[in-house]
Amino acid sequence: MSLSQQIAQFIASGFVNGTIYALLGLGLVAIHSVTRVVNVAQGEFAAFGALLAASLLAQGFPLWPALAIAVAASAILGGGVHRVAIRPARQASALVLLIITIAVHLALKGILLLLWGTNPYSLPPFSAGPPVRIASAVLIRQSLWVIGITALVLIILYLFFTRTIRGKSLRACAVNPTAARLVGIRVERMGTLAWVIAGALGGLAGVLITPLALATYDMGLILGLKGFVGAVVVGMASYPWTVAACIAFGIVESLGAGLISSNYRDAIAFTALIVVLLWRALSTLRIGLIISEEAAQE
Amino acid sequence: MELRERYEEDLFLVRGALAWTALIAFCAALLLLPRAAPGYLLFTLSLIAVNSIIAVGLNLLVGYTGQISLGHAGFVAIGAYTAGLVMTKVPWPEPLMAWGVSWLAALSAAGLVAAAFGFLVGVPALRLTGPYLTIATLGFGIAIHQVLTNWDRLSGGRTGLFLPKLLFGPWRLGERQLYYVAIILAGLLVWVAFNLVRSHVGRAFVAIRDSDIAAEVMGVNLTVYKTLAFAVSAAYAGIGGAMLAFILGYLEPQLFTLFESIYYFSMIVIGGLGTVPGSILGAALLTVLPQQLAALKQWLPLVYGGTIVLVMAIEPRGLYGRWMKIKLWFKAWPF
Repeated sequence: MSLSQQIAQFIASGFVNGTIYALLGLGLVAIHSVTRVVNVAQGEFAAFGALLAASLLAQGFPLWPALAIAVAASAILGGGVHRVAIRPARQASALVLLIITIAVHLALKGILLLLWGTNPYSLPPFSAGPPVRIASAVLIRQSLWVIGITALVLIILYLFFTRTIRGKSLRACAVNPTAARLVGIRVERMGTLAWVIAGALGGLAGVLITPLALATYDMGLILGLKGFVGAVVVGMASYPWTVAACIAFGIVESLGAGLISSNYRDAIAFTALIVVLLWRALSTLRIGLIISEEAAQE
Repeated sequence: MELRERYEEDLFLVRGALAWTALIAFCAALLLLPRAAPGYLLFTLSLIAVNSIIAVGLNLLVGYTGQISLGHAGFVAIGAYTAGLVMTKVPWPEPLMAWGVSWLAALSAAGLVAAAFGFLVGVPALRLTGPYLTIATLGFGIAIHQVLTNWDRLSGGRTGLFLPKLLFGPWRLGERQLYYVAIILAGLLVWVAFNLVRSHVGRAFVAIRDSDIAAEVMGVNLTVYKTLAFAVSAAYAGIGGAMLAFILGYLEPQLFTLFESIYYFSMIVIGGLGTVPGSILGAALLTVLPQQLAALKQWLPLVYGGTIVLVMAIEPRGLYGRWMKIKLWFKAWPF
């Protein structure tokens, strides 16, 4: 393979990974904008969805119902985490809430370890067939499923946030919780809804990636972090920019791993992250702001 | 409540005959213990001492200065590997090695190198707050772990790095001697921490935690004190890491994963954020607990996570905060 072909291949696989990160990043943005919580446990929803789907399939469920049940269960898990761990402490400081989500991450990981053990699980690709050539890159069919389903989800989310009362209420809570409460929106309930959406998006990311990479109980943190990278780079505020940033991050990560060294995959990715964060901080500083939660809330 | 009339009275770290008796008894017990205790108990106590050093350092950063670090295992790793490399790669002349200069130098080098890295991580912290800082430190921890795993020529990679036995004069430091070194080192660093948090430096840390803008308005130089907090905290972690390397005699990158970072973090949250004794309590608890629950290893993440959620919901000031409340209740009894 020539270098340009290789680069095309890296960009294509980075794009696919990036869409997965985007699903997780979107969940993080939904949670953060409504409940002001940075959810370290976001990736655990993906791990849970993936492992549950694999088990259901092993029990003899057909593929699509198994996937649907797994995503729905992840959504319920998301809502449950909000009710059990986050809501009782909603008056606490951002630091405490962050500590709680770290703890939730540990606890969920522990539960996954107890239920599924350390073995890796896999799912079959959603449709069989030879890989597809796009330009000079070769993509297996599952990658197309990942991109297609993510695009579909984005459209649904867009319609939900712009055309339905519930979606508009969620946005209202993000913009100004007090005003939202004044016009009769139940902010607490919207918080749970945001967590449910995040859980579903996480579970979906999990079942989409499992045919490409094996699912293990501890896959969540790194996945969630990478979604977080995309969300943070654009300030945890905008849904479309989060998707763009996550995909860009996936491509950078893939190029770094491919061209420099795959052993240093995460190291390269997170070094790039620190550079971007600093660059963003310095550029916002010039107009008189420090990157902080206050800035993200604006 | 006793009344303090003079400033000097307020300066005492240990107050009252009872506290002095307790402290002296505790120190005497620690010093005399090796005569009676079996080896594994000494090993556990040495580990508690090491973890206390790391936890106290982390608490200076998280509990006092309010800067979350989820990459602390990275600093511990830097300290441990610096010590390991100074011991193995530097051609020490025979007399220096025999008189313990090599490992004392390794210990100091570990602290200094880790502090330098702490300073480097602290620089972005000047511009990042909250989740952004958390994620940056987390990335730092992951990057250090990957570099150690893959840079074989530096770290020995997955096969690990073996340290020579420590020598001091005619003695070869075994389990018992290492226990003394760890205990004395921990005692010293805890004492430094106690004094640090009562000095103008510690007050500046707390002011930054409570409101960095207000602190700056009051004349606290954020650049100096934030990077200082990172450097001091990393130095503690580095010295703890070097001591860990001496006790284990063997290093591998898997000792310094993200899980370890969260493990150190759990210690200070469970023990009590923003308290020095709380860090030690948390370190002791979380060192002993996994050993006792070795058969239930799979339950550990769930237990840690559940405990932190519970602590945050019931007693956000941790074990030490609860202890203070109990003490206050007895002091004020029968009211």
